[in-house]
Amino acid sequence: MLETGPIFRAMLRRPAGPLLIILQLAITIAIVSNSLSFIQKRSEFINREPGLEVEGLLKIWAKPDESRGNLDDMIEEDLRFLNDQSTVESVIAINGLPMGGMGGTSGFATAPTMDVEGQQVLSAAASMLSVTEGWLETLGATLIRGENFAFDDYQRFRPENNPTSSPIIVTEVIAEQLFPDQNPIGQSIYIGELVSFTVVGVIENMFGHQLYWEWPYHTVVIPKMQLSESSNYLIRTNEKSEELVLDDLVAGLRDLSDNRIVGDEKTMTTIARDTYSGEYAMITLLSIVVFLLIGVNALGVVGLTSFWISQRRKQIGIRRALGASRTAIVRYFLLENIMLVAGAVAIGGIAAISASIYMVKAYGFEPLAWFYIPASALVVLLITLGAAIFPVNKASRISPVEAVAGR
Amino acid sequence: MLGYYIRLSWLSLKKTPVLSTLMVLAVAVGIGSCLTILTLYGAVSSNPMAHKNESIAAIQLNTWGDEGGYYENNNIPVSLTYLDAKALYDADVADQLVLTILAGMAVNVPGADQDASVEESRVVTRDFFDMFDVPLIEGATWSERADQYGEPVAILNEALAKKYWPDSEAVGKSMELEGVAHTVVGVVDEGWNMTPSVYDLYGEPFRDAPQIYIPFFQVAEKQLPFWGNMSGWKVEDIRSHQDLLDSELVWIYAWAGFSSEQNRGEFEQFLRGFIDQQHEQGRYPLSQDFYLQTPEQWLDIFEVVSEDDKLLLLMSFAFLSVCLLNSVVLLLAKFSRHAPEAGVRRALGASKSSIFIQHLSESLMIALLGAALGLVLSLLGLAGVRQLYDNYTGIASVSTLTYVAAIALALLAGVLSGLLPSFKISRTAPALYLKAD
Amino acid sequence: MLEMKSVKKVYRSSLVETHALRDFNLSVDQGEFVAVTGPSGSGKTTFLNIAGLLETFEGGQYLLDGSDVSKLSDRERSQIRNEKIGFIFQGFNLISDLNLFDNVDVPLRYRGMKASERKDRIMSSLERVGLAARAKHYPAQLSGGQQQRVAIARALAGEPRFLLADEPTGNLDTLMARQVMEMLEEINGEGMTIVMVTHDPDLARRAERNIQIVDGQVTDFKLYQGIAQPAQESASETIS
Repeated sequence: MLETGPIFRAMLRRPAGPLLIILQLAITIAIVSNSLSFIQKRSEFINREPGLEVEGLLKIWAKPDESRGNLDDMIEEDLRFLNDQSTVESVIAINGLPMGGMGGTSGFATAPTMDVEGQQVLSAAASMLSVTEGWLETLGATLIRGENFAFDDYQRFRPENNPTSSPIIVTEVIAEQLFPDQNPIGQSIYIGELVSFTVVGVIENMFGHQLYWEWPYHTVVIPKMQLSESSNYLIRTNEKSEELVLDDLVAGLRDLSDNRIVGDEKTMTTIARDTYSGEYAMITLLSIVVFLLIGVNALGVVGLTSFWISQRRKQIGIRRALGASRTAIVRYFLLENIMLVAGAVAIGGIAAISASIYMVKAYGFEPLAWFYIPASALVVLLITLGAAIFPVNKASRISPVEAVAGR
Repeated sequence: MLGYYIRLSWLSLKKTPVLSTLMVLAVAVGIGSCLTILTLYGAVSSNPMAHKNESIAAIQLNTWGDEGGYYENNNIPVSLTYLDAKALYDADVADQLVLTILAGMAVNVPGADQDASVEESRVVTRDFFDMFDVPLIEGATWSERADQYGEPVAILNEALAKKYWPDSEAVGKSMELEGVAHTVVGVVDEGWNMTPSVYDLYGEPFRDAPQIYIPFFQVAEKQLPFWGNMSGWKVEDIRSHQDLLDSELVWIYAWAGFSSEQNRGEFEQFLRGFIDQQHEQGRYPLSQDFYLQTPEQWLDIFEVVSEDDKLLLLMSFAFLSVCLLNSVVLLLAKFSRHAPEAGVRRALGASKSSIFIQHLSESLMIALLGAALGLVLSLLGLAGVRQLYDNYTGIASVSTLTYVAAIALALLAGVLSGLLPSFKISRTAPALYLKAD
Repeated sequence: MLEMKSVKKVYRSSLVETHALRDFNLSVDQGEFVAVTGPSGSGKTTFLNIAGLLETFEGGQYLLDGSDVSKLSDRERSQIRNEKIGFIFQGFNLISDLNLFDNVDVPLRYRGMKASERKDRIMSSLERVGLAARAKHYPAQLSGGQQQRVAIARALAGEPRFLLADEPTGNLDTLMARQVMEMLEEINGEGMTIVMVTHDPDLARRAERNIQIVDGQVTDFKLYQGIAQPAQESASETIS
């Protein structure tokens, strides 16, 4: 039979110890459940579909160190060189860098001005990617409506010669936002009265350069590239050893001529990881905290249980003398632990929820998903039982002779 | 008496070696984590310009015309248009005026072994070096004339100077920046790096120190490779560099330094007049406010201390409290075995407070041992943090704060965890434990 | 020197009220060697605890050295225990982690004495009981009799007003018991007042005066040279 009654009454007689243990376990449960929830949410954040093929994508930055007039030629030459390499599947020049944290963004609206009679003007902010031919395969994006740009659409220009119109390809979410329940193909969107764009295609949601703003999938692709003083190249390779390919290509580009700077080469995987470094760090740190916390609790349980048992050697001996089997002794002490954890879950659950509410208010974090509380309780229970097993097993070996032996 | 208690505490710890070790370990882990996070937090939340908090100010001018306000920070643009920046500089009202942007300049020294490279460059007006206490080990700041006309002079970071001219002085040498020959006029101590970089908190405020400093008004002539943030509230057709300079795009950080309260008053008065005048010409459509932010406020506006940092701090204290509770429980258990000896001491004339202090010393001893070990663990912890956060490499290391915190936490842990158990044992009724049977 | 008048001690639990001492009267003069005897449950232990200021009591008065110590605070009682009472327990109650020197040292520590003064007293106490040579040894290395002698040294080191002994020879064999009793008689001979609680009548006979407690009250019994004679004051049973 389960001796919960007597155990409970015994605890009531000397409540200080049990209360403190319950408090300790409760706070542990509160911390662990919030941490686990946090870790899961952050992992989800990191594992969002990028909408492009990150693996096998490389980036190189290049700049002619003469006056800007050579940039166009440099790009031309570099693209030709890179395309010739056997390790290169395809390559583009690009302004802006998906997942890279820097690039141009702008607001796009369905009309050149915001107040148009009898028409609701919708707008959306978006990351702008200016690309050269071959971008769809290089990025590994997926066209789901309409068509890709035509060969003639691609153009590189100096700022003095800004085009006033261009075809544009947008992501699903932009299409949905600007043209809800309509066919976006053929529609026009505007940057003020400056530029008008005709939507020729829609791609599956793809990351722009900002991963940390409200609209990570607000991306538009434009075949008109403004020449500044440098350019990024995105290269798709099928080779396994991305780093080696990268070093090779950079060396090759540097060899092409003296008057250029080639550098800041990174794999897209590295770029993605760097952008998310804060998240990875938090996940790691929190995991360590959870691990250490459980470790400390385990240490405490081992220490305490051993102690209690050494204090109660005579009691255990008496129980054995009165007929308790070894299993019964083990069961008694494990039951004690379980009852403490049960008490801790009740308080810990409340603490976990309160902590979560506070963090939502104070820091704007996401609230706790409730099932992490029983999950943490289970983890804590398993760990405490696991930790207690060793001393409790030893206790069960106490012979009934202890009862008679006296001091 | 204290020496006596220390001796007794040590004897008592030795008597239960396993339990004592577990307790010290648990405290060490708790304090170690706290120290790691506290050190990090201390570095991240520090204000390197605190000593000038009242005498310098970051300038915010609300040029924004969009009803929603600036999309970030405190809803007000944090940088200035070129028009406004130049007007402030030319007016020469504040004792010091710093304008700054970040650029990536292509560096080449013809004839040198090193390949051309791109270096992080800070484009500043000359007051920058004095305002932000930048130490020069060679040469001096450029002249006022060089400042005004954006002459091709440069001040280098010692590391860059040593890279190109390891055996001689860099001052006087020539270096091509973006293809233009610049004369080196000064060298900055390579040990200097302001973290966080109060003067420009955009992007990575814990980045390495700039390698090159050039006069701001070079931008009057041409576009430099801009590595900062440029934004605007209205659609503008920018086709030339001059278009940029005339536009409402904000991209320049501005700081004012005041010699006195009166100077500040004069500056504010000037700003008010200037903005009103601009407003009449159609700029500053929404509000004619301006703000002079202290470095402390500036750090807040850019949220240098992230929510994650605050969460970690909270976590570490919650963790410490678990470790403390753990200690209390284990101490209660351990001290319960002391009852017979405590009873004897009481019979022999020890007062309750003597017994209390005796056991509190034991608790403090465990806490101090734990803190010492925790300090060692925090070294590991900080090494780990440097691995995890690239941009904290410069700052995540043991500081005076760490040592002070270690002692403070040890005392706190020792006293808090020892209070209840020591109190309980001091109340031992002597009579109960004296009979042999 | 020690006087208890009409002392009453009641133990209360939620169900039961036990009158351990009722209308207890006792008077001990300076230099006396008094044995307090009685069957188990008679109140001997309670008397010991009260005499030793280890417990408080409900009614009556306790005068020690002329001062009323009936209603003192815990701190004051601790101080008096420390300065005026020397305890000797059946189980010796030495602290096993400390050597003999440190054991005798314990009561002196709570007096704020200088280290040199403590050392002098400790060594002379240990010499008095013949164990000075073994000052660095630990209790576990000593026989029972030797341990009790250390306890006596500890009691004497503080120069108390009287020794309070609880079954001092209860855990000793006959030979050691005799040695210890001889020592106590010697010390008494030097002028130290001794109050000894015991249930062993042989032991009790060695004291010059016997007091018997029955049901929490005193029956006085004086013993001259081995012949039992009832005291004049009260009419009660004699037990030999």
